[in-house]
Amino acid sequence: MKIETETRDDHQVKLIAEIEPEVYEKSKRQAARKIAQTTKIPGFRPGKAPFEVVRRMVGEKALQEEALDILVDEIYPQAIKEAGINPSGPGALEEIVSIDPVKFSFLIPLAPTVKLGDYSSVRLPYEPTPVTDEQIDQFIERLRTSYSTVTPAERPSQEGDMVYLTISGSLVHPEEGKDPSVIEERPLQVMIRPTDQQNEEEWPFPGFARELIGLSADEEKTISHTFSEDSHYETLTGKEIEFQVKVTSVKGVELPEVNDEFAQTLGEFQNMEALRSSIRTGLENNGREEYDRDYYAKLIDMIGADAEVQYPPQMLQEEIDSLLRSLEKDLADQKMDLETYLKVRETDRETFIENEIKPAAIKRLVRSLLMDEVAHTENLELGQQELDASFNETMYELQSSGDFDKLRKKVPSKRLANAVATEAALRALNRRVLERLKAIATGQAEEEASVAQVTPAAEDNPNEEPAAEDTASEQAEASPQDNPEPPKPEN
Amino acid sequence: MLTIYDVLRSPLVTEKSNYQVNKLRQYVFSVAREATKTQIKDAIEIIFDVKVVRVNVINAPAKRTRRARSRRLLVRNSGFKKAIVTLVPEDRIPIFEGVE
Repeated sequence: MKIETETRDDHQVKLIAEIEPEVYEKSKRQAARKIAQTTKIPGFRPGKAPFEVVRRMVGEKALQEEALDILVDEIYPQAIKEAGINPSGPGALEEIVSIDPVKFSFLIPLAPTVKLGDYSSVRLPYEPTPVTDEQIDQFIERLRTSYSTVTPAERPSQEGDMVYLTISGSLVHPEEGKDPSVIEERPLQVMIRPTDQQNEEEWPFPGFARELIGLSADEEKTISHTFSEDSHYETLTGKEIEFQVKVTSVKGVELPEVNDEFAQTLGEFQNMEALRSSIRTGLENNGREEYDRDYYAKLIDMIGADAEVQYPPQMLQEEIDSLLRSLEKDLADQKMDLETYLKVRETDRETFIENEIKPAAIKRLVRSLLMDEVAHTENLELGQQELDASFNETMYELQSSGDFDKLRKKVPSKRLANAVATEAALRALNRRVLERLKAIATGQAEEEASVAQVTPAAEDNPNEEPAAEDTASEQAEASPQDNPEPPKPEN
Repeated sequence: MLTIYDVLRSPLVTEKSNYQVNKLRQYVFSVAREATKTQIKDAIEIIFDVKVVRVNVINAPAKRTRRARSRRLLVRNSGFKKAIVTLVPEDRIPIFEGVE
């Protein structure tokens, strides 16, 4: 077999293979046998007709096609091996250049190559913002509000009251021929907060509640407000709107006292101290999750900035497809399909993919490639223990997500277990990589490395083929430091 | 009057005849109903330019079948006369497919 290769710009290889006539002849005979199995040839049992008879029956052309098919299947792996190509996906037969001698040209996507820059010098301090007492106070305040008791009051409203009202809004200067109504008449309940606790997100505009002070039941008021340029409601910026308000009732709100008793009513809290600390951890976890996401995204982008990533278009296409699928699934949850969604967004499929899906897909692909590469260069491996832990976690999440039963009915349990295991392994490895990157970026890794030089038995350097005991000890060593963060409670 | 060119009607190519050709040097033809062994021998020797050792003939009987669509009607396949011709070892009939 003669092989020529030619690397193309988009990270694919064009491979031209020339086949010897004997090999071709052999595959022709094979083809004839295959055809004889399926074609009915009078006078012969299936599969018993000799080559010549088959050829007379089906014709040279059909025989040739079948033979080429067989040949392609057969020589493709061989050709790849001989050419020393590392493919990332199934190659495509581009064309049959000639029949005599048989010459194929394949288009093979190469495995992505990632050239990491000097990622070990990337520095990004890891500083999650600490939770302040103020935030905790705010949280408790919110708790108090939601646990407050409401009693009807026969008096004009005042600070701290809950006002039930109906509201409708219209533009003061509507455009010609347009419906001036902005808000249809609808009920609303508003809490009048003290001035120092103003809610920035207040609806319909900040400060609305304070306009209601002094109103009592069945009173009406017209409030006009001009939305500022930086308002959340883009369509209303700079427009003056009149709100018609009719108060239905005023209710006094009694906030529970902040004391140990209040803490006890909320659950398993002994006293205020316990409640506060629980809130603190909850907030911390939430904040850290968010921070972690941003941090890792930034970190990987930094590494990606001086890395060189090359991948064939097929991989990108796969990524795009998977993104589209997940989008479709999300839409299906909202009882929508992609077509409708696109119509709402006033775009068509091609432009939508080109402008929105593709950049995201590229980003995701590059990110995952980078992470793989880091895992590879850093020689990160997972111990059985970690895998188990991750598997259990994944399984647990799956079970609690509710679709599990449905899934289990559809998918055979073995396949399901496999899928979960793969997912779990991926997750664990991802986490591992991210932690390693964090260690590098915060400079911890260097310290460890210097320690490692003094004591060569240090962790984090799993050998290529660790002996059984090594793995065990390594796991024991690795697991405590691999999970510096306690499992995050869902909040 | 049956000339030698009317004797042979068609070669029979089946799994069995294929075996006979390859292993036993016997070539199977469907021949005219009124052909005799001698006529068949002459015909083969002249047309294919080979030497015939022996000719066996069989009158393959007509078979009854039913028409596939309406199962009532009986249809008769016509019978035919089959000749099995054995050649001397050196000779072959090249047009016989399955040989090359």
